[in-house]
Amino acid sequence: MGGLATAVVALALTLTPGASPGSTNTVTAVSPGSRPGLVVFRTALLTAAPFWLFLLLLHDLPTTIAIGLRVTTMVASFVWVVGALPPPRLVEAMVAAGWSASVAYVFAATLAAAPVLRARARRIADAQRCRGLSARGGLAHRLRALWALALPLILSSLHEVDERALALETRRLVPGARRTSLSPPPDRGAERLARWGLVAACAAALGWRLR
Amino acid sequence: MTAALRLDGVSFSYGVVQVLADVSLVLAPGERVALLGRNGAGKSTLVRLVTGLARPAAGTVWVGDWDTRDHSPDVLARRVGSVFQHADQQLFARTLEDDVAFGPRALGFERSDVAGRVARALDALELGAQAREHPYDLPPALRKLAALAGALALEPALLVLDEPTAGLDRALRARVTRALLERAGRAGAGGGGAALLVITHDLTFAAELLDRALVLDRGRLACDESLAGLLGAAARLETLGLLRPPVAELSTALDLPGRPIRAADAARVLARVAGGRADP
Repeated sequence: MGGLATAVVALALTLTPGASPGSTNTVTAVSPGSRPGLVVFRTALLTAAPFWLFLLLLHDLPTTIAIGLRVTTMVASFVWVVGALPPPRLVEAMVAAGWSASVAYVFAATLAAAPVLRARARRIADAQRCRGLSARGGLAHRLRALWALALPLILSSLHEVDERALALETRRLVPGARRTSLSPPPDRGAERLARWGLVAACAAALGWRLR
Repeated sequence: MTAALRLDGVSFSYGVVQVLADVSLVLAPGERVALLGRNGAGKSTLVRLVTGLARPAAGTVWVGDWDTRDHSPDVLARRVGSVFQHADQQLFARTLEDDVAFGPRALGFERSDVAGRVARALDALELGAQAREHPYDLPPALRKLAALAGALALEPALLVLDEPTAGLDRALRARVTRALLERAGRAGAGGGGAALLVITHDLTFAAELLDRALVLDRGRLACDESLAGLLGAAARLETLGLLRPPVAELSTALDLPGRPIRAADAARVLARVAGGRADP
């Protein structure tokens, strides 16, 4: 029952106005005209669905439900966080709260990486198809096609590392440097309270599980 | 003669947002056409329709006598060579010549034919000296040329290029111009040279290479006329969000005969005028 309740809460959060799939800050895709809240909700459901399938193949129904609800909670929570948090604002908030700018950037970049990589993968797939690449045929042919899709993605991403490093350096995102925030996001009392409440709830849940 | 490209009443939407509305146009073999318009006007979507990456909601896109609905992009690649923005990200082979050969090999051309196509493409873009280098050892501008060489090596009847000169300096832009002029002028599939459909915001480059202008405005074909005619109409260019290139500006300011838009043509006319032999 507890698992069901937390999964419902997590899924409900994906329908809140804060969870809107922006252009650069989320793992969720949106096509013009679609309703943002539903897109985040649908992304959470679609991401969780394969887990349910594999759990059902491996376990009996009660275990599948028990683990599946936990997985759904985790997935929906993550999708919600990603949908609600613009990474640049997250960096600002973390720097304003006294975190190292490098740590804040690494955290935000992780959130921002998925949509960037996905867009790039799509561009590469389109370009290779227009160069005559077909994913049809035997296994060897498909593997070659996969090579032509995956390798440019990896190479171009690795190649970008230098440029990113240089960009970070020019912005003083280097170890030991102290940055200040120009316009830190407001951190209201209620938000601080909610944050510490969630940390306490997590600690309590952990303690309860380990007792 | 069959058109290299024909769009008959083509419309396309992303969800409820209409991006192209009832667009009709024809490109003859060897024709060199600029596709202009503001950001979001529908230019890139039109390219996706031509390459078969998207299908029209209404109307038909014909590449030669092929309806793009009936062919996947990898099949259409026999007739349409394309270079997208960020084309340098598609490179992956160990050497530049291997990467340029990827398309012709994927289309199943004979080994000797592939070698010839690669050599011609690299020669056209003056990349022979870098043929054995790893694409990622090349500067970004040359990687862009490498991607263009990949499209040239397909030797298609239609080349569709999305911002081919973005990030290129003047010398490299001139290289691209020469290569594309040569390709458009050369006899190829369909009797004429390759037709060019080039998305660009670089009207100086467009003036040097292209003859005809198609302007998309909020998904509709707002203008289809000679590029020289369009570049002569400063007010219209402004309403379309386009900036007139310096040579066209100079031609108008000096009221040069024939209002040339290409640097070489303008220089010739100026020389004639200076020598007192200007056309009446």
